[in-house]
Amino acid sequence: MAEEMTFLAVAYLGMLIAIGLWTWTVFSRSNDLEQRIEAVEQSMQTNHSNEE
Amino acid sequence: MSEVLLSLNGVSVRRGSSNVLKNLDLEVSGGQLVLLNDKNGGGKSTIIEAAAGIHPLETGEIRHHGNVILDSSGRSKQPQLAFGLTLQSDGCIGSQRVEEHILNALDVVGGRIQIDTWLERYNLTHRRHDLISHLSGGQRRKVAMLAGILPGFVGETPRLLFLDEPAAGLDEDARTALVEDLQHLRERGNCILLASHHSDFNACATHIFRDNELNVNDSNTSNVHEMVDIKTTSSQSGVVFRTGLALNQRTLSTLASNGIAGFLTLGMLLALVDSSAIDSNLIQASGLFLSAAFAAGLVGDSMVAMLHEHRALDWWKAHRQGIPNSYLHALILGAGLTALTQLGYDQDISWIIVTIGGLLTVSTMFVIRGIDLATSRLARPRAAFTRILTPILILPFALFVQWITDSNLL
Amino acid sequence: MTKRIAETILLYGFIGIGTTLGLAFLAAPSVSINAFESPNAQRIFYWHVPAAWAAFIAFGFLFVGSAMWFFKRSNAGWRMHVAGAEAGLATGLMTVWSGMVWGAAEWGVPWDWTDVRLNTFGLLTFLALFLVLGRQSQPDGVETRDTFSSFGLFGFVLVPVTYVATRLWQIRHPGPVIGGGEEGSLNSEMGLILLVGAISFTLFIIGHMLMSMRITSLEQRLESIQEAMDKV
Repeated sequence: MAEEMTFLAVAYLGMLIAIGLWTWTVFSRSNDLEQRIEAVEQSMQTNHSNEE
Repeated sequence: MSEVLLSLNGVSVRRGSSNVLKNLDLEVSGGQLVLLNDKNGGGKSTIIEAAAGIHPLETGEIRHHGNVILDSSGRSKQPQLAFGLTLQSDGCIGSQRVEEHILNALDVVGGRIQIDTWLERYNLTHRRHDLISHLSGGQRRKVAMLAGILPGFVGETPRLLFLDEPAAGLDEDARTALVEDLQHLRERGNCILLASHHSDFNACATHIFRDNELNVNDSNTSNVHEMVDIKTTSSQSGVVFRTGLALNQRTLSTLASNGIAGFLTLGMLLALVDSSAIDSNLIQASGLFLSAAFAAGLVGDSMVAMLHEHRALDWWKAHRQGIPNSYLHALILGAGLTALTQLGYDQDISWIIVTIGGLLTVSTMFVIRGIDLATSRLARPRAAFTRILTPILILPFALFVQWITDSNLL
Repeated sequence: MTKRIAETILLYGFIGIGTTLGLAFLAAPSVSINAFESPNAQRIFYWHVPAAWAAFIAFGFLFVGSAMWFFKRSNAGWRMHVAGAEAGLATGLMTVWSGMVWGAAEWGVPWDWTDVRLNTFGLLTFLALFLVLGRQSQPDGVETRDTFSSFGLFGFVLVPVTYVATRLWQIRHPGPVIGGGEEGSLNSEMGLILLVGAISFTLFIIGHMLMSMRITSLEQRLESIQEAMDKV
């Protein structure tokens, strides 16, 4: 009985960690893209002001 | 005024992330040669391929000889009169012989002519029986070009000829010969759409299409030639089946790819499953006897990989007469593997199960081939992980085995 | 703004899932020992069923998105397709994994090849895996979108099949828990926890899909800026 509950607790915990990790990767992908866009836009603006 | 043989009405085509063609209207009549010589990236190849019905249309329709062959709702019809086609990437399978590809192009249009004259003219006679993969780039181009122009010499009825950069990599002599041939083809009433940057073709083009405008070509210096009488003989039927058979016999590809998977499965089964265990359980027996045949089918059709070479798949698809396959070899292989499995387990051969084994390999191959062909439009079809979808067949296999057991076929 | 909404929904969903699991452990009633081989393993049910529910939402999203791209060439439809495929993969894996844990305890085997619902669900997950990995292997373009959205449309045919399969071909899987008539009814306490689970998973998966759609639109924005810079 106790063994079963441990098995269950491990399975639940594993799944929670898995969805936590997934959520974290989604957030980091989003942040990474935002930073890349910002960097590209900045370099575009710099190019523009240099041309002027 | 000759009859309009090709019309593109309001055609828009998207490729990648851009609209390559937008509401394009183009009509070409018999006896006209339209030269497309826009700059790179201007959509020349897309116009040729759209006219041959290779690309799905966003808007508009394509008509050959007045009949719609493709429209924007995806309706596609085999043209009543087959055309000649040279793709920019040759469109020929490396494991085919030179004469096979050219004769295939003729059989597709339904008539043969003597090809010796042209092989000699383009210095390919000594290469006639060589595999296309053994040729240089320029020689391969000549083969692809001949497959595109020779259909125009078959029979009396004018045909459509689509030639995408037919002179790329050709030496000067070959280009001069090609210009002459195109002149002949035009005089026979064929309608030719040709994409090229070579100025040589200004001599034979009746019109030039550039920046979405069709203009009469003033620098056309062609003279009327003496008509050469070319005798057309009947074509050989079953070009698709014959090609599949010939390629399989030459490369042994079905045996090498599907066969090896089947034999490995058989070997593992014989090593791991004791023959005494199967008598007691019929479902295990029928599943066991058919596993090798099933594994062989799961590999798919090796012909698809061959057809991806030089975009041969697009060449076959454009003609809408079928695509070469390995079904016959799969049938024999599946039946053989099933018989061997039964013998391996000291059982009498059940011919029903042997037949089922053969058909199982064919049907499994059919589905996997279908998935492979469904992804053939992708930019990188071989990188698309299509094998992830193979488990789709496991459940039907399990249910099929159950059915065999319930039907007491063993 | 959409980022905030997506993040909030996701956060509530995540907390809800944690709560459901806590309730499943501590508050859910035990079942009759005679009815189950492994009575405690049935607590997986509070994860398994809501995850399957969320997977159906994700696959529904995938289907609608695929159809919108395929028939209407809608960019929003393509973003829905991408979000649906990613969410479908994640929730599909959750369902299959939890099902396997349950199956191992209850049936003695984690997988049964003859069970139609198990296999069609597994197949849907494989389809989502194919859509996610396949799309990542290709440059974005009309050919890529057409091909994968046609597979998305095909996959959705499997959803109703999965639902009814249990009735037509039941070997091991229980019948539908909700909408399955008298036999499918649950006791009220179990039903309540299940409801909390279903709401939490729904919020969680919608939050994820909104985030995913945002990521796809950011990717498209980056691509168009880079293309504009190429032309300079």
